[in-house]
Amino acid sequence: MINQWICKDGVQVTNTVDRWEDALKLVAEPLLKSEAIEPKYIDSIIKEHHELGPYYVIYPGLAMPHSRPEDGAHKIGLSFLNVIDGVDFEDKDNGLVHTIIMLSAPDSNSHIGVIQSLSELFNNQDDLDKLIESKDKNDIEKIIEKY
Amino acid sequence: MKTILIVCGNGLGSSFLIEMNVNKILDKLDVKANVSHTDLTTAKSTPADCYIGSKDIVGNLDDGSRKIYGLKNILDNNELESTLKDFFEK
Repeated sequence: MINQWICKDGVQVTNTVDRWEDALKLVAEPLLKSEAIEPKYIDSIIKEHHELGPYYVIYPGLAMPHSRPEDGAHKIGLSFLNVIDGVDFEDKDNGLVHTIIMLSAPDSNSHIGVIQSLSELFNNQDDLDKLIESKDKNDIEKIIEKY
Repeated sequence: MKTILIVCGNGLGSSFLIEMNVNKILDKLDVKANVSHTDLTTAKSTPADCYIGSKDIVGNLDDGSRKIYGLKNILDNNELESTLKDFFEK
């Protein structure tokens, strides 16, 4: 179940953010507060973005930023953020991002269940579209509850 | 059996998602292959019959001899299915 991995206050909705870095910092807050990650985890995602591009934009409107366990991840954690106005993650093919799901994992195997559950959600086109269009925290929570 | 290596920046998230979808599609197409996922650095020294990943990532693997498929949208199973068909038909 996706819910069991979501950090406290790990579903947020905001109207707008200035830059993609700000969106990453905002979505990371619940993970930081629950000590799933250290601040350097966010720095590492930003650094990789500069080196490799926004490869974590995995679908039009959807980003799943994450880094490696050794970059400061201590626990499995998930945090959802919807930005109503969208954020430009510099991805030419996938447009503005509205849903950002930050993931942390302490090693390369323990989060298999998380990826499986997210994969089920992502493979349901209706729910995926609804998630990306959500402007209300309760709507997001209702979708997540199903997986 | 052909080996397919799914690659992403750190071998944890997107490559894992793609691998699950690749396995589903291979079942559907009734084709068998060795599928695994890894990070970009490891992929550079791992031989495989083809490499699949987001276009931002797999471009870094292009040495002129590797067979590389860059996906625009990694959750698009239609794009993935036509990629796999292309690989197995050639």
